[in-house]
Amino acid sequence: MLFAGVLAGCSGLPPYESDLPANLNVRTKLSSPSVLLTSPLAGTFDAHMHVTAVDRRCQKNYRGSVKLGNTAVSVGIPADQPSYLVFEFSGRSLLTRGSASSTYATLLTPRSGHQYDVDVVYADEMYSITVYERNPRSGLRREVERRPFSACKPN
Amino acid sequence: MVLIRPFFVLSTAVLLFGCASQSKTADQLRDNVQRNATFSSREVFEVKKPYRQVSDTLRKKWLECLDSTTTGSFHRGGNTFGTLTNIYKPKVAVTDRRTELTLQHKQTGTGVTQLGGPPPEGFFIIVTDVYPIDKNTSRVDVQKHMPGYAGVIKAIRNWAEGTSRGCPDLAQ
Repeated sequence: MLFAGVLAGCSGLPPYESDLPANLNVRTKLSSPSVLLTSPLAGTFDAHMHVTAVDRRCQKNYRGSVKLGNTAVSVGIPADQPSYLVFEFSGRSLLTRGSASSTYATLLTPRSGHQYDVDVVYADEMYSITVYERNPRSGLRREVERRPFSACKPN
Repeated sequence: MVLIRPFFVLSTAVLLFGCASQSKTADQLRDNVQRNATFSSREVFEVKKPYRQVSDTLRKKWLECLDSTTTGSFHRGGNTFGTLTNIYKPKVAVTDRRTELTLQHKQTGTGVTQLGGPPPEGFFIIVTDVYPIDKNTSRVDVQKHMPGYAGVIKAIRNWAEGTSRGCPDLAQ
């Protein structure tokens, strides 16, 4: 029962919802690191993006999570203010009755009128998360470097 | 295997590191590797790239990929479960003659006590030094004092050689 509770707690993440026009487009390719984490063996391997708003004082306010699968997802995050995006890869195994997860986080301040394309790839126990900024008018695209939360300066 | 390894590492570390000295500084880690301390290892390789280029790439990827937290839960028997959190702190110091990259590791969780008085940001588990050899060659010296973390060692080589920019999953 306790394990069931752990599972329920972990899968009950509040979905990120926003009325803002979509400006963050996430494409994901996931390959499970272990056969134990595949459905034939009652395991799972998932990725989520947790969205946290960051105010002028660099205070965090968690807004919800988006499950990342092999279908691209687009969401709207506020332009011209920072959002803290945490990408989490997590695996659960009913056979070993264990779970493990790891995270990658970046502080992103979208510019208005721009689109942000995120490529999330997990394979062979390695992952890459690449953020591109795209200007829909000019078509120009550039890679956005990862910024740690410590880059947030109160103003 | 994926969910067992971190806990094997934990239990092994608690049992065996209890008698050994975990590294509280980068120099202590180098000393431990020098005297072949338990769970220490070293990998040295050269790349045909200028020092500044290798240094810049490793600095960037080190801070990007290893600033991570992993969590896990495991079955302790019966209806009891434990939790474990690993917090990693990467740091970099760059000079004209050497780039020092260090990784500290702190562990918290059910019944977990890090013996030996760890520094506030954790014990030093990996130290990588990059040196210029000549104008177009750099030496990368990776020293480790902790079981596991093969993925990190592989990633360092990938970054230095430019074969992959991927980050190692520290939960593996």
